[in-house]
Formats: sequence, C-alpha cells, structure tokens
Amino acid sequence: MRTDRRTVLKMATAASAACAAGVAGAAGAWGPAPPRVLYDDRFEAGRAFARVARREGLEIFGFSGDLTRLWRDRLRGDWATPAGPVIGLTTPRAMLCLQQLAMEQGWRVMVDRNARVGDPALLRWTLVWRRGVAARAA
Amino acid sequence: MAARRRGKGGMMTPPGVSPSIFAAALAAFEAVVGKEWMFTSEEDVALYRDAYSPFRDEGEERLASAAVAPASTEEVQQIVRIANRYKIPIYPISTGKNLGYGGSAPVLSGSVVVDLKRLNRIIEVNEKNAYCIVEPGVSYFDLYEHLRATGSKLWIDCPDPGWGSLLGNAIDRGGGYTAANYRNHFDSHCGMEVVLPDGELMRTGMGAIPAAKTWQMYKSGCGPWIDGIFSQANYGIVTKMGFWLMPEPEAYLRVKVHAPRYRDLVPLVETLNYLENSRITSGFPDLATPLLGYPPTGQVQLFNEGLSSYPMDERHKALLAGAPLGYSPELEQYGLAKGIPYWELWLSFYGPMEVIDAQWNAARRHFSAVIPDVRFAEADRLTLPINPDDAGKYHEAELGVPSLRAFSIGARTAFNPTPSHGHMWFSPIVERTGEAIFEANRVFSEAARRLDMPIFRSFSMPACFWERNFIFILATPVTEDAATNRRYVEGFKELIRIGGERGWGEYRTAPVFQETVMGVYSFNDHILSKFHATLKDAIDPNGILAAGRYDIWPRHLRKARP
Repeated sequence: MRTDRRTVLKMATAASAACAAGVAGAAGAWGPAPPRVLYDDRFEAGRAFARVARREGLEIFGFSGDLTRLWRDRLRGDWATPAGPVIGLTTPRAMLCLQQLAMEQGWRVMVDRNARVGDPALLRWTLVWRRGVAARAA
Repeated sequence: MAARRRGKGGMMTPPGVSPSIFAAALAAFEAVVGKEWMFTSEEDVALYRDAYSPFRDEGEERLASAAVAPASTEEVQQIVRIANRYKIPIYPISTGKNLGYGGSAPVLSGSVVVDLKRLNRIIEVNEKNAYCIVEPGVSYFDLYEHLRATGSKLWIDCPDPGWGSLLGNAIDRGGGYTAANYRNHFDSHCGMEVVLPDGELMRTGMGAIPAAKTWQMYKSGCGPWIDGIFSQANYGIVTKMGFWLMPEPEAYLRVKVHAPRYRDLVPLVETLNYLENSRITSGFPDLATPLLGYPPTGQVQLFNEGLSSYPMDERHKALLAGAPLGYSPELEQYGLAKGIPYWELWLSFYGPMEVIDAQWNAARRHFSAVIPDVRFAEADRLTLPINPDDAGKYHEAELGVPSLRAFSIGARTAFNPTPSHGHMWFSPIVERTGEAIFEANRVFSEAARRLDMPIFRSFSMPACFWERNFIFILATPVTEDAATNRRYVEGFKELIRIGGERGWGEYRTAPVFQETVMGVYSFNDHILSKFHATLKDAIDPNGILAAGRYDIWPRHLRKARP
C-alpha cells in the first residue's frame, strides 16, 4: 500500500493537474498512517480520483450524493477510534455534512479547504483524528 | 461594549470581561469538565462557527470565545454557577446542527458555547404509552437506531436532514413529516428538566411531583404551563425532554389530487383543511404546481437528484415566463389542453389499510364535490414496515427514517443549476387559504423584484408542516461574495418587515434576523418583547444565558445591542 506524496499527486492529477500542488501540500500532513479515500461517484473527477487510489491499494468509499448509508454503516463506526486520515473529493455540502458529523467523534477537517479538484462542483479535503469522545451510554 | 476579538496568538474575550477574569472562569470550567472537554484553541472554537453565516470572516460574524462540553446535568449546573460568579455569557447548544437558522454560533459574540453533545442518554422508551425521554445530545439517528435495535414498534418524526438533536430541534420549534400530531416537535413534547440561570434544577408538568408517575403522559401538570418559555428563548438550559412517539402504522398510502384551473387552489385548500382538521387525513400534505414547475416540499430532494421532474417544452416555458405571478389565461388554457394540472396536492395516510381506503374514498368524495374535473392518482401503497434498504425510494422522513440525503444537493442538475454555499431560511407563517398563497406571492414577488432578491422570483408554494397555517420556507442563498451576502441580508430584513405589515411573521430565524423578526411582533407598543425582558431580568439577573437569543437581551446589553 503506497501512501506517499507521489501517489497522492497521481490521484490529484487524475482529477485535475491544476490542483496537484494543493494535494501535495495535504500529503505532508498525513504522516505514516494510510489514508482512506471517499468520493462522490456522480462525478467523473471523483471516479478518476478513486481509480488511482484503488490502483495504489488504498481503501476507497464511493457514494452517490446521499451519505446516509456510508456514514451509518461504516464511517461512524470507523471514527469511533483513532485511525488514519480520510481524504475526500465531494461537493462542498457533502464535505460540510461529514465535517459536522466527524467533529462529534473527534475528527477535524485539517487541510485542503477550498481545494477545487477536477470539477468546479467538487472540493478536496482531509479529515484527521484529533481527540476521542466518551462512549455512548444510551 | 463588544467582544474583544482574537488577536494573533490571543483569545477573544466576552464583552465587558477582562482577560484575567475570563482566564479564571475558563480554569473553573475546566476543573468541572476536565481539560479534554474545554475548548479554547482557535481551531477548536472555529468548529462552533455558523457554516452558513452570511458574514463569514467579516466583523459581523457571530463568534464564540471558547466552548465547554459537560457530561451531566450536574456539570451543567456547575458551569452555570461559575458563569454567574464571573459574569460570563454562555450559549447552550444541543448538537449544533441548526443550519440555516444560525448553526451553533452564539447570538452574542464572545459567549462561551456550552456544548451538550455528551449528554446523550436515551433515558427511557415506553412502548406501551409511546413516549421517550432523551437528553440534548441524542440525535434522530441515535433514537431511530435504538428503537430498531430494541425491536420497538415506535417511529420517530424527523426533519431533513435527520442528524440533529430531538431536543434541540423541538426547542427551536422545528418540524417533521409524519402524522399531524407528531410533526410539530415542540407540540409533541411532554415534560422538561431545566437548569435555570441560577443553577437550580426544575422539572415541568407532572415532573414537578417528586414521585411523578405521569411526567411524559400529561403535559401541563397544574398551574401555569411554562414549557413554552424555554423554546426560542434564554430562560434555562433544557437537559431532559419527553416526546410522544407514533406507533408504527400497519400501512401507508400516498396519493395525488390534481386540480386543473388556477382558481381551484381555493377549494383545494379548503377541502384539505376540512380533511386534516377532521383527521380524515393526518399525513404530511404537500402542495405543488406542475404547471408552474414548483415541486412538493417532500419531493424536492428527488427533483434535485433528477429522479423526478415536471417536464416543460419551449412553449410551456415561454408561457410561464409571461406569467410572473403564476397566472395568465394562455397558460391556464395550455395546461388544460395538455392535461398538465395547475395544482397537485399530495396526501398521505397512515393506519390499517382498510381504514386508509375508507379515508381515501371520503377524501375523493369531498374533492369531487367542489373541484370540476379533479383527478386522483395513487403514488405509493405500502405495507409497513418496509425494508430499510428500500427507504431511499421514498422521502424517508415520511416513513420515520432519518437521512442525510439533503446534502446530496450541491451537484448541478437541471432543477438546481447554481448550488449555493449555504442558505438563510425565509419562513413566514401565512393563513391556510388559497387566497393567502396568491396574496403572499404577489406581495413578496413585487418586493423581491424591487430588492433584487433571489427568492419569490417565480410562483412559490408553501409547506404544510403545521395544522391550520401555511409556512413558506424559501432558501436565500449564501454566496462567496461578501457584498452580495450583505445585500441579501438587508433585503431579507425588508421582506420580514413587509410581511409584518401584512400580518405575517417568521416562525424561526437566524440570530442576524432575530431583532427584525421580533420587531414585527409589536402589538401594543411591543408589549410582548417588554414581557420577555421582564422575565429575563427576574430569571437571569446577571444576563449570563444566551444573551440576545430571539432579541431577549439582559438589562446591561439591552440599550446598545452588540
């Protein structure tokens, strides 16, 4: 599994060469933990982003606009414990939604804000772990 | 007296509070919750910004100075007492998802946000009497999944999206999409526990009896029923709240009523009102107009996703452009000739199918009696429960299923060619008549054109969340351009004032508009606002709690609202 700067650059280039520098900047913030990749598969730029990530052995999660099932069935559980970063290529609204949900579980959008990649409707962002939260006691 | 803004490496302080006093207060808060749950760094506090603020990064943006996240009612009480000791303004939020109405940002910049997300216990679900008791951090998703995991036969009623807090949504008087007596979330509550501004703990209704057996079964108890003063206000921090839940129905039927002529809207609404007020139909009624291209509220998501549409040819579009207020004889004739309904009313029914069929028969009889050439169609006929995997075929919230689907907006579609960066909800309450829909469109459309506002530029339809009134819920976009946002804010305020002159008022609004909205509620020289102020001075003499919320200011800030 390769999560080095070069791989990430390739992913971004697949979506948009113009934004590669921004992605490279993000890569430096990741550290050694492998990122997972989240993309909106309604967009060709998102699918291109994911294709490169898959080739590089990264775990990818696609969704078609509606994040409900992905968040409920996977992300919420994953975010309960520290893990590597999540990089996403989504609409700003999906990013906002994930950002709000992730922050409740101790994650933060750290970099990439306003990074337009591949499609003017999309933003690339990175979520990183910041702190834990108390277990639910319901 | 303004909040001292954060300098390089420094910290914002509340208005009138010195840095040393503020530091002492934060240390006292931290001693209660622990270092991990005291947020003072710029990055952490930024999470409490309003993501949809029209004043992002500008001087008028409402900003917190710090945030503290208690884990129990007792910790909330301690925080309130510390705030009184140091005169620190605090601003409670539940899960802070109030997007479009201010998010989690305080009204008064410099306030310390009291984030209640860790109070996340589902205290009780009572299956036999169909109610629950929850804390502020319990989201619709949390309760939905708890009910499913425990095999409960109770439903939730949730808004779009369903990520917010039951309690927070109810005390901001939000709504949902199932049966009428559950859709109004404040009305469907029963009993509260409240931390008062002096730190004392109070229970309302039957909960005031120490050995209460019916706290969630009888709302008012005896004596004045005061729950209302804790909604859209700043007289206490609600730490527990009971809600009545809808028993899972056996079946669901959703139908469409098509009326062909412009004036048909009047008897269509009158008949809807009779049917709903008689409980012949109780599901979410939804008004749309295929001829004018305005979708039903519950179906907007499907339109945004391109899964549904009202197709229009070029002739149709041209006629529509020539009818800015939604009517021309030529347009009406075109609709009649093409079989395109002027109005489309969606009705939904919950219950045993044999009862639903009888109700639907009665509804058809009533519509047929007053609307010539009315037509009917069934949209969905479901035996419940449905497979959760199939919920996405429908508007999930009408089936008691929470969703994040609202955030799929953002992709450009034919219906949504210019997705925005957020929105401010313009949401006036008007009479539940067809004439009021015509009148509101005329008044707001003329004003919006004069003010160059992007709402009411085509014929708009209200939503039917509440019984006995309509509510227009129109999204004024937040753009990337500060000057445009500023112009929209001023235009929005003017629309509020114009509505007020007509007797219409907002049901809920973001902090930036709360002074203007409450100014409309001005009967007898603003006696209502004066009463709110009298209460504030009596209940919260130090003015520490949610200063300015819905324009209720403490005495020391009242004259010079920050």
